[in-house]
Order: sequence, then structure tokens, then C-alpha cells
Amino acid sequence: MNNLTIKEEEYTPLVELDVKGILSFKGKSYSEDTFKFYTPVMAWINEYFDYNTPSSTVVNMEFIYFNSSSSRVLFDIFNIFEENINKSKISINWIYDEEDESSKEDGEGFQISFKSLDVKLVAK
Amino acid sequence: MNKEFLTQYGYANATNDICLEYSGHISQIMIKEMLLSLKIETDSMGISLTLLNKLNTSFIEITQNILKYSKKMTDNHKNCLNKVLVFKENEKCYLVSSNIIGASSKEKITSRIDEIQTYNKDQINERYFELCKSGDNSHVQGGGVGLYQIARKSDDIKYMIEKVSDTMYRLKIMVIINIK
Repeated sequence: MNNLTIKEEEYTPLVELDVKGILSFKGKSYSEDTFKFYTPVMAWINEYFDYNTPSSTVVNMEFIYFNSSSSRVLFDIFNIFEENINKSKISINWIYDEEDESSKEDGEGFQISFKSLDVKLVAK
Repeated sequence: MNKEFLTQYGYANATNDICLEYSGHISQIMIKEMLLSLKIETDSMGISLTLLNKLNTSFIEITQNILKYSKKMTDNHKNCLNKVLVFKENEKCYLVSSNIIGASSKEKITSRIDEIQTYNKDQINERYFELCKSGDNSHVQGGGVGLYQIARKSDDIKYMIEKVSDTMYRLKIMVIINIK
């Protein structure tokens, strides 16, 4: 299985998925068709958990802002993490600017919605 | 944005700082450019990152709603123009939009905003995350999760509906975000 890197573009974030167990998302996400953008990402993550998953997985999410379609897809991705919680020790870092309370609240939403996952709020 | 439009929201005679005003076709590229324009305007206002996040997110939701759900009226081009306005007044930031929608969108959007207006902030957040996790209204048109996202990021959301033909309506939405 190969790593997947999708460069940051005008409406979509940088996505770096490493088979060694580091999954990163960084930037803005407000594409017109977010489902189309994230389909290969979700396919990769599903495959990652199906084959030789490392004992630990670190997920770094650092979104400046995202639209509701992206939010829906992020929930789908968190659902995948939750389904595979027994295959790898998953740690999710929701990274936000310490002066952006709104982004912190978004992270809190994922913490509350996915209580079985280890979601940390990381202020930078 | 003409005074008549703002009068209907009771703001025509108030002084306000207009950050952005646009009338015409909305596309994803236009949304990106308007966000850039908003950034330039808000940089000079010294607003917090929290407010910037709320403003940008709400702006994207409002304009992408116009992008997805607007209808055209072939017999009356002027009347079908999309409009977006962002202005600041006292300690509040206002986002106002106006566009033409069809009857089915009208029912979905207005009933959703009516529902939102009965909830407090905690209930809005709870409902938003519930909808996101359940997959309801996920990738279906009709003003679902997006309106809840706006409600989460703002302090009030209102609307007005005007019938413009047998099957078309002009929808005006106003989103209010407290600056402090």
C-alpha cells in the first residue's frame, strides 16, 4: 500500500496519509463537491485499516475553516476510525489557533460525538 | 444593495460599514474572491480569529446555498439577481443574502430555519452533530446541515420569503454575528 498525498488547493486542504500511521489534514475545506474530493481519502483510510495496520495511528487535523459538506465527510472519516478502534491505537489531534474559539468548539463537537475515540484539542 | 432591501430588515436608515456588496452570478470562484475581499476588509477592523472563523464559515454556507439552490427566471432577468451583503453596525456583523428558489427548496429551507429558531445554542449544536453523525440530509440538496452550521456560528438567523411567480420565490436570509 502506498502513501497518499493531495496538495493543498484553493478550496481543499493538504492531505498526507502515511502507511506508517500518520494521517494529516491541513487547510481550508469548502469545495463545491467535497464528497468527490474526499472519496479517494476515505478509500485509502479503509484500505489502511484492512491491511497491516500499525499498532498506533496519529491523526492530525488542522482546518482553518470548512463547509457543512466537509463536516459531513469528516464525520464519515471519524466513523471509519471508530469502526477500526480495535485494529490500531488511534489518537486524533484537533489543532487550532489558540485565539480561535470557534475552531476549538468544532473540535469539542467531535470529542462529544465520538466518545470512544481519543480526540485531543491542541492549541497552537 | 438598495435601501428598499435593507428597509425590509429595518436597517436602511442606520449607519453601517459595508464590508462587501455583490449582485449577480455566484460561482465557486466568485465565492473565493469574495472571501479574499472580506479578508482585506476585516483585516483593517482588527476582529478576533473567532469572529473571522464564524464570519467566513457563515459566508461560505450562505453563498454556497445560493450556488446550489438558486433558480433562474428566464422572463425577468433583473428580478433573479443574486445578492450578498456584509456590513458591520455597532457591535454586530450582518450577512444578508437574496436569491430565487423553487417551491420545494422554499419548504425545506424555511421549515429548517423555523425549527432552528426554536432552539437555544446547545440544542442547535446537539442537533447539528446529530445530523452530521446520522447521515440525514448529508449530500442531498435542500438546506439541511448547512443552515445548522450557520446557526452554530452566528447569534441569529432570520428570513423573508416573497412569491415572485407561480413556482418561484425570493428568499432573503439575514445572519447576525455579535462582534463582542
